[in-house]
Amino acid sequence: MGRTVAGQWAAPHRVAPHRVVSNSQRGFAAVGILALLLAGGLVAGAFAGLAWHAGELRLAEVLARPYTRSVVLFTLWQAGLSTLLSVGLAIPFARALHRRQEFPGRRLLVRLTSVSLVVPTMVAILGMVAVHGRNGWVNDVLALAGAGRRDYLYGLSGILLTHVFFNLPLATRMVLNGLADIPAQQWRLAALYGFEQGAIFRLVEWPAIRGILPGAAGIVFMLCFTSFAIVLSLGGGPGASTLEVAVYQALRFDFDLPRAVTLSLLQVLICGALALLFFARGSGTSLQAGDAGGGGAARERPDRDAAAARRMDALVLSGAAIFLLTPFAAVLAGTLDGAGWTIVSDGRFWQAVGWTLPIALAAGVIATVAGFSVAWLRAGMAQSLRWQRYTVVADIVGTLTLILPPITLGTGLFLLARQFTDALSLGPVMVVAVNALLTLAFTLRVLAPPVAAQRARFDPLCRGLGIRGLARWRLVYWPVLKRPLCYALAIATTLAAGDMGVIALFGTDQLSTLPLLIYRLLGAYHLDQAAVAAVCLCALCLALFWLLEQPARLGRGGAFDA
Amino acid sequence: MLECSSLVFRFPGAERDIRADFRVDAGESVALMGASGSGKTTILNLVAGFLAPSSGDILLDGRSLLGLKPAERPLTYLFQAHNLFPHLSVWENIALGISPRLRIAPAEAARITAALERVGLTGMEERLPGSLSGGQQQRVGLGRCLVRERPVLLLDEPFSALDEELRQEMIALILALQAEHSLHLVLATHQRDDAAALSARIVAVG
Amino acid sequence: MRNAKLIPALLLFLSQPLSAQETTNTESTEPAEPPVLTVYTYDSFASEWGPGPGIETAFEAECECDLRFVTVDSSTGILSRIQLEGDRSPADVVLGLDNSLVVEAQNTGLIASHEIDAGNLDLPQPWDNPNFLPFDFGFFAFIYDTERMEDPPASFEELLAMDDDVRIVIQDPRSSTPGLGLLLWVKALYGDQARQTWEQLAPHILTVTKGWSEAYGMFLEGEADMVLSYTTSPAYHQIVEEETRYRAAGFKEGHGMQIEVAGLLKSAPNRELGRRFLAFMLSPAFQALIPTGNWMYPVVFPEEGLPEAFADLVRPVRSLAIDPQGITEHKLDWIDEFNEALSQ
Repeated sequence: MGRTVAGQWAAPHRVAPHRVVSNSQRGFAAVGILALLLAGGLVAGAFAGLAWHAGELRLAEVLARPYTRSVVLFTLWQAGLSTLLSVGLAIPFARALHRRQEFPGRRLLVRLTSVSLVVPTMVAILGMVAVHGRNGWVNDVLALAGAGRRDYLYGLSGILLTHVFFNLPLATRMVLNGLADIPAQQWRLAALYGFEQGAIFRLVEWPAIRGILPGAAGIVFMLCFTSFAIVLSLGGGPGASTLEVAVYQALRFDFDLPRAVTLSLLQVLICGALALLFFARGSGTSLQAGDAGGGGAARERPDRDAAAARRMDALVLSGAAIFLLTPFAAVLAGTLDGAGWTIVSDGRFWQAVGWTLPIALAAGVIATVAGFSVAWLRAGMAQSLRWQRYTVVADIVGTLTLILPPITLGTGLFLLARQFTDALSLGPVMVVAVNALLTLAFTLRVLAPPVAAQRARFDPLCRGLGIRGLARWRLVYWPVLKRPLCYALAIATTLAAGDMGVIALFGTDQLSTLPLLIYRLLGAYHLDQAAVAAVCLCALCLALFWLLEQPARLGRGGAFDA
Repeated sequence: MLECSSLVFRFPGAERDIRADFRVDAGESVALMGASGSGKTTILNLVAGFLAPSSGDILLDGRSLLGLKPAERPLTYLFQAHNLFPHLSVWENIALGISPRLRIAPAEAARITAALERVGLTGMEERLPGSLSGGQQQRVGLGRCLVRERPVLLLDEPFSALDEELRQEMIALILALQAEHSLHLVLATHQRDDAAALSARIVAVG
Repeated sequence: MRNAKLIPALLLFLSQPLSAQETTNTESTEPAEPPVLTVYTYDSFASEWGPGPGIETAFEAECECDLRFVTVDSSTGILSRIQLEGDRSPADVVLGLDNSLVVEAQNTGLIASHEIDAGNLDLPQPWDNPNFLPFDFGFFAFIYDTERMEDPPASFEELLAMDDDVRIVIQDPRSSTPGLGLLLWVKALYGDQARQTWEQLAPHILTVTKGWSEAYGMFLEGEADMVLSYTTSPAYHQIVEEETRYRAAGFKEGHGMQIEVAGLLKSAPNRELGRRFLAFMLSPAFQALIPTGNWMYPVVFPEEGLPEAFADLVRPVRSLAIDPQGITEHKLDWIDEFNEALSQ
């Protein structure tokens, strides 16, 4: 799989500025426009709903509070540190994965880099507590060694640890993609001219990943800046509060709408500005289907047999494997004594499963259809001289949905809906809508590059051959796009299945999903049961991911991959 | 004399062996010819040391090269494409042939200047490869082979991306360099014309 | 289509909760169905080990109605929930707010007056609030494990002066009533010096949890040495677990008091039923479930007296409370003060 490097999501080639539009094209474009309008409308509606109910927006008063300032500073500080650590550690990790193409567990680690994004936050938190808590594995080992137990999980260190746990694989994946794109000839040149480790990094690897780092850092930064459940669970109190948590507190406990709106706007402004800064400097962030291996070219690396490199890689890989896999192992181990399995006979468990599946599937399908349509529309706009400049609208929606606090969106929409209908019965609809909106950011990132590339590649050919309508879709675009489409659907669905941000607001004892159940069990300190629910959620997510990616594996799609 | 003696290689999972058995003297040229996929490039990669043969030997003047890493082998190699690091200047790309750390002594700098002149790129030292034509890029690669000062030059389809005029220029340049340094020249090509132009002995592959 | 098989499966998933809803709908339209009383409360009150189930059985036996508890994850959550829902709330009664939230809740204008005489309650102080009725009360305290802590602090001053490695877990005043209770307790004791007090306490605070059960669970798991809870918490261990190792640390300056209350919503779909529930709340049937269900003091002491274990509990020398009006006016500032002191 190639990576698209040109503008944020742009196609590598631009074709003729004029367009002849067929019906199916118009159809997709129309859905794209509709999706954009809907997304924009939902966001605007949410803020309108909030602002209306808030009455007065005490902007100045909220901003003047010293606590607001300290929350903003802490949010920036932890996001910056998390990004630095995640991306900084991703470089040696990705190098080691690239250099070592064969070792037991490599497939597992590489797979982890592509699914870490959809690991449910609550599962990760549970795993971190089981490994790094005062009674966790690390402290057990310390105690055995006579070093005494240490509290390091609550507060900044716990937040950083968990953020790195989440984002190291993601950043690694992006860096690994960059390394995989290095042509075999560069490795041969390195071999031919006797590059040492340093020269290999400086001359071959660094130039390949330099362009990726700002984008990778940007997305990691946004994810950490808007971090919610992790900070809420492991922050250890008001000293470690992010804007997103402050918004949650303002809405959920104080019902202080002006404060919530102001803090949300603050988050959008700061995070949006920084995101622009990151993305402007890099070649963009695309998430993509398929496994980055770079197997062939990586085998040409001349430094594979160097003893120093071997030692380094063994250290990095075992360290990363231990850090990334023990939380999962600990969650699994927590279920082994059988005590927690009582939850499976609890009605709440099946109620949660019964809600998680349809909510996730509905949000996933909507986000994928909307993401595809917007990507299609965007690709068409990029090809047209007249419309080119408006592609930025799609980009803004893609970024905005990533940095808007879901709780603000949800509350705003709820307050708006309350005017017209029995909003409570709309709870599930709200959860689906907000989740679809939030995962749109991801489906867009998955779909925009391949859709743009394939349209640029095949549109002229199709026009020339007169392939139009459904035939164009069935013969040309479905075969080449089904893989990213299925990947987008799988990502969006599993993300929604693991969502904690939206359900945290709308959850009731009638409307509960597995992540919320885990959160509640964790809150009641039923760790055994929480572990079982977490394992079930993980199994559900894996099954969904696997199932939804199936169509991509069938048939002859692979041969067409760009 | 460079000698590939009963060289055999098989890709994992492939159905047939790639075999090579040829000699080339100093100042002489050999063209490995065959259809695409026949294994011409693979043989060059075996000689360069990017791949290890399953059996057979590669010798220069009777000494086996098999134990040597690519960088230690007495040869240079011009690929069909991707010969240059796109982020390094022309001068730096050539300087890599002398020092991978780009630590260049004044005497060596003179060699680079000479090579640049020899391949006709004087004045383009600071340019990046992206701003050069395909022919110029190939000549930068050749310039680097030149400063390397090795007796064997491997060429993989060196003219495939060039138009007729540039191809003629390149052929003339290679012939001249071969004469000056009495290089052992091994060329992989599917064009009989290329072999003829370099007066290369043809060895069929596949 | 290769994925034709998938579609029925998807439909099946999608239809599940919908059909579940349909069944409840059809049930509720049947004429024999009794009226439903919806009570919003915090989760531990309605949980199987809380007083909720017993209350439900007892009230349903006399009202010929269906009492439904809807749980919210915290007391303050109840308040924001009814604010969010406004006059469209399906709730009849909110149960589980406390004296620190009363004025704020009254100010929403969503609560009706209860019109029930609350003159003869066994409360340490008289109650005259027109909107809310108390159903239990208790005193905040730090609980410790006698097997791990031999020398607990005997005053707030001693708590502040503890060794650095003694760790406590407290709750967030924004989301938890004990958390807010501690905030007010500190304010009552230290007034303008509250910020310095928090700064002194900060190094001992392992974490600030969102709710009580989270904090108490962490303490029981051994993650912390002391936890903010109630003087009545040890009675639970003694009666249910026959475990006497957990004790409350009695502070000589006095303890913050909490009075838990319930109120009727103006928008209550079943207002009369709701009012009956409030009256039932002060009856012996309800009150008897409080000591060993919610582990608090009932507002009407039973004739046969409190359970034996309650005799061993720390009885505060002084109960501290702050004027509710003042709480509402200054709460945000005090919370910010707390936040800032702990953010240092």
